[in-house]
This record gives sequence, C-alpha cells and structure tokens, in this order.
Amino acid sequence: MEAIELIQTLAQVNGVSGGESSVSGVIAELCAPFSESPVQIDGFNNVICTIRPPKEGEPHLLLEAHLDEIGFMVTSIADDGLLHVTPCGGVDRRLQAASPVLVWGRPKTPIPGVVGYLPPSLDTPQHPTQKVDEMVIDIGYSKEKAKTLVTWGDRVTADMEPMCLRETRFTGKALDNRSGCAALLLAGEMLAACRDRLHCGVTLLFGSMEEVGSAGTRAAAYDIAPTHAIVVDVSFSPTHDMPQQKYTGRLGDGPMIGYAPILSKELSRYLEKTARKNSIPCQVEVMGGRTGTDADAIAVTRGGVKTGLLSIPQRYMHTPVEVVDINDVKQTAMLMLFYGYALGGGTI
Amino acid sequence: MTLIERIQMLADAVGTPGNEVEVRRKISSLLPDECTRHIDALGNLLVEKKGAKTPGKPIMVSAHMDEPGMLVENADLTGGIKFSLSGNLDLQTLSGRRVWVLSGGERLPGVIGIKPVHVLRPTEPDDPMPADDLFIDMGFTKKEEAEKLILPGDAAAFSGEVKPFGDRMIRGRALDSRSACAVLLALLEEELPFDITAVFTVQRETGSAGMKTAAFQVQPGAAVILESCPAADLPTLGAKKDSPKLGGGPALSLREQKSFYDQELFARCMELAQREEIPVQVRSAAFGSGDGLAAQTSGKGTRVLELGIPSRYPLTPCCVQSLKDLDNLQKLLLPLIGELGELL
Repeated sequence: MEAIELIQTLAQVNGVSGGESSVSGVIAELCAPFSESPVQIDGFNNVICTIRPPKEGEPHLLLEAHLDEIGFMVTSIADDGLLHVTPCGGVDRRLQAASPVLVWGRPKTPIPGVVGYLPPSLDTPQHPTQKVDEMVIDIGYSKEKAKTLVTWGDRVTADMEPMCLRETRFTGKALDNRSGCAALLLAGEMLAACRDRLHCGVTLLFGSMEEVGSAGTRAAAYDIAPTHAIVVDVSFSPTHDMPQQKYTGRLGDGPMIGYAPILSKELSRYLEKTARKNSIPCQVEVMGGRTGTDADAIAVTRGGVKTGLLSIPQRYMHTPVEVVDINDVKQTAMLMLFYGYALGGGTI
Repeated sequence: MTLIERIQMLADAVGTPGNEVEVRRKISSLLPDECTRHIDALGNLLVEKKGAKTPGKPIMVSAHMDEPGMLVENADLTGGIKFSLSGNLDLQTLSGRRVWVLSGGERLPGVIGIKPVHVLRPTEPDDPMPADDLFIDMGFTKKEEAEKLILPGDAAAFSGEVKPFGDRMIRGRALDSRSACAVLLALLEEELPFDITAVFTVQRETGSAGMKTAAFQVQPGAAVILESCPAADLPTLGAKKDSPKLGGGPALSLREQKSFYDQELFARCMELAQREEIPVQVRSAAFGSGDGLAAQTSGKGTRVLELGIPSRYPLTPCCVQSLKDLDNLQKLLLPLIGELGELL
C-alpha cells in the first residue's frame, strides 16, 4: 500500500462520530489482506484487526488510531426545507458560513448542501458569526422532498476532495485522523509481513467516536485487553497565528513523540531512542495535562496499559483544509514497526 | 452545449478584477463566428451581432466577467503567501477554503487555513480572522521556493466547481458573474430582431470601471444589465419580505442604492413578461449597485434596465442559483430585444 493512495482513499469517505460505518467498511477491507483472522467491525463501528495474537505470557501491543471525523448531525427539517443540525465534535464556527457540505442521507450518493447564512450586504455590514448549534444546511429542496432524502441522525461532512498541494504536502478534510489511520495500516502491513519473528501480540484498532469522548475506543480497548499501546493521532503544527515558541511540531520533521502524565515515560523514551538509532526523524510534544486523544482512554483500560502517543504534525486542524506531510505518516508507521518488533525481545 | 455546461465551463476560470483573461478567452471561444469582437483598453470584450433591423439607438446587453478574489502581495520567510482582497468578500467565507493561484498561465493550488479552534485562548474571541492575518499555504517551505513560482500581483481565487443542487438549482464558485455571461452567450446564438452590442465587462467587483468605459464607447439608447442579485428567501435564516426568491423568475430592479432605474424600460419589460407569461419579480434594494449605476452615469448618461438572477450566498465560493430563473431570463431576453428596438 502507498501512503498517499491510502490517505486519498480514506479522506473522501464519510465517518462523522457515531456514524462511521462507511469508513469502517473501507478500513476493514484494507486490513483484510494482512489480518491473521477475519477483521471485526463491532457494534460501535470500531475496526479490529489481529496481526498476531499474543502467546501465553507475552506482551500484547495495541496500535490505535481513531477513524471518526468531526461534522454535523441532522436533528430536524424546517418548513422551508433547511436542515437543523447539531455539531459532532469540535466544529469551528468561524469558517462555516456558506461552506459546501455533503449530507449522507438516504440516496447512495451524498446530497450536496451549503451551510446557510445571511450575507452581510443584505443586513448589517458584518453579520455576527452564527453559533455552531444554530447552524442550518441548505440542500435546495422543499420540506416534503427533503423528508424523502434525509432523516434524523444523518451525518454531514465538509465537501472537499483530498489533494496534493506540492510534493509531499497533502490537504483535505478529515486528515484528522485518516492520516493516522493510514500510518496504522502501513505499520500493520509491515508487522504482518514479519509476524513469525514477533515476540508479542499485535492488534490494530481503528477506534470510533474519539471526537465526542472516545466511547468506541474505550469499549474496544477493554475487549482487546492489551498490555502496551501506541496511539496515533494528529497534533498542532504552528501556523502564522500561533505562538511559535509553544507549538514546535514542524511538518515533515517526523512524528511527535508525546510526553504527558498519562503516557508511559519509559515507552516514550524508548520510542525516541529507537527513532534515533534507526535514523527516523522525530520531534517531541509535551503536554502537562490530558493529551486530548484516545491515549487518555486506553491508558486507563482495565488495570492500566503502558501507552505511548505518536502525533503526525498537522496544520489547520478541524477545518476542511487540514494539511499534513506524507513523509510524517510514513515515518510514524516505521516507528511503530520498530517498536512492535522490539517488544517482548524481537530483534531485527 | 446546455446552459449548465456553459456555466460550468465559464466558472472553471479564474477571473478576479483586472485578471479576467481566462474568462474572456473562454467566452471568445464560444462566440458565434458572425459576431464582430473587440477588446478595449481595460479588457472589456465588446461583441456586435447583427439582427433583422438596426435600432434607432444601440441596444447594449451586458454581463460582467470578474469575481471577487485576491492579489498576491509577497511570500514570508516560511513560504506563506500574503494577499490583498479584490472586491467585497465576507471575512466569514475566507478561511477553510481552497484557492487557485494563477501564475505564469498555470493554476497552482493553495489553502487558506487558520489556527485550530483548540488553541484559541479562553479570552480570545472566536470571530472570523481579518484578511490581513491570513496566508495562502501552497505547500512551500521557504520564501525562495515560493518566489520561484509566485510573483506579486498574481491573481488568486477560490477554487471549486459548479454542481447541480437541490430542485433544479446549481451551487458553486463564480456564479455571481458566469451564469449571466452564459445567458448572454446563449442570446448571441439566436436570430435577433435587432442589432445588439453584447458587452462582457471587467472589474465590476472593484467599482465597475469596465462598465463605465464600455458604456462610454457604446453610447447605448438602452442598457440591459444582467447581474446576480442577493436573495434572502429562506424564513429559517431570516427571510426579507421584499427579497427576490429563487425560482420566482428574473428580478427587475426598480432601484439599487442610489440608482433609480428607467421607469419606462421597467414598465415595458414588465408588460412583456406578463404578455409572454414569463414569471418575473420586482426588486427594490437599498444596497449593492454596480454595473447598473456605472452605465447610468457614464458619458451623457444611459437608460438602464437591470435584470437580476436571484442568488443565495452571493460573493461566496458557494453561491446558489435556480436554473428555472436562468431559463426564464433566457426566454425573456429575445422578445425584450424586439421591444427595445421598437422603442428606440
């Protein structure tokens, strides 16, 4: 599998929190060739792929990336056919006005829509920005027709085809966290190729509902019961409008290895050492409190799991124009490969 | 070529004020052979088409080619591109969008991003970012890399495409100008009762410099301006009682801001629409005059009839118009030329 094709495929699929079945299906298919047993999709839309089950007494490594994305959910249809929606996850209200969206309703192909708003020329010179829970979607149909196409709970995503900006830079919606999913798939494929030489169990989890509190991941991690975990997500790469001394993760400079109270320092140090030894570029990210990722949930599964966090640097998180560097995705996969190989005493 | 295909073709061109060359080229390629054409000093495209008769005074029908967009200023040390706005763009609709930067005849992609909502300080307002604080990210990593490909003064515009939408509507970029251009092109393919001068103007969005000079050259007896007009027709969003509605037909303007348009032309057009049973709407707006005012006050003055295409979310990369309104505008125009020819 090629990193760029994986991201291209994954970023166009719909998978808003709680409505991830499409993206789960696509990921399950991508895992199938290298999964040791049939890939599972559970009731939460989590995708679980076993690379190697642990033997008695061996450590069990869980590699996780969340597969959901932020978006909206339809709550009702107004008399003029506009769809009332509620946000799923941290939707950014500053850039929603008149943005193109897709409503994933009854028809097989998504319904094009626009986030409705009153342009300033008609009213005041600068209309106040709409609150995120007051937003509506215009799909250009009467209420009667809209009712045949859309129903409560249908999800809404940004309408933005993924594309390459230049060389290794890639842009699109939902790169948080489909770029993490791509890294996980690449790592899974490489680990499966050398499964006979591993000394630990390895399971891939593509977790659901991270953007709304990690419910999916929590349930699956309980079921899998790992001893060790590495979570892959995206994190902030500084832009012009961010304090440069605080946010230091640069695009293209490799995965960011996380340090936080909930993360295993021993595991993080080991990741850093492994990266250096194998000439994998990496950076660090220090978080004094919560990580704001599935790592927070996984680390406290059952009696506790030694957890590490690899973050792919990203610009413009939670916008339809998120940007990542493909090389960071590949390096993240490499680092997971080396860790999986070493855990339990494997040597390369 | 159907109307929607023509609109899609014209909308797939960057045409910011002063940089209308891509649009003009596409329009030229679609003009019927028998039309004579002339490009003036500012870049307006003036097209003459012979009809069955010559009117007493010239009939001018116009549509503007330009869309609001940006001009590249310079690259900063990290390769981000600073820009200046060309035309009225709402700050709420700038970030989170993809753009095309037109450089050396090539279209390069970029994005306008903002810092994530997660890193806003609690005291920081979550209002739209002012344009001065925004950059176009084209994937460059340093200034020198950007400067090899991008020059100050290069045009940039929101990218995207025009798609069918809802109940016989379209959604997409640059519809404010290009759907009217497409309707005007369709008119030029008809057998006309009178000669007309079709004018595709430049720089509407930065003050209608194109129309000022075009009307001066044509000195028309009557100017028919085809433009989009804002529609606030959805009650959930706070519909305005007097706003044109999508699907209600072309909107005939009585007034726009300081321009009160020609009463006789308005009345003739209204009667014609009733006679021909073509739905039309009446518009009287206290804002937003453009090419109408420019034509009216050009040279010795011109009698203006303005026909609006009702548009939701105007001047955004996601404008919505009704194909029914465009069809009805097309139906209205041909007999209107006859009516005006008799009058002048």
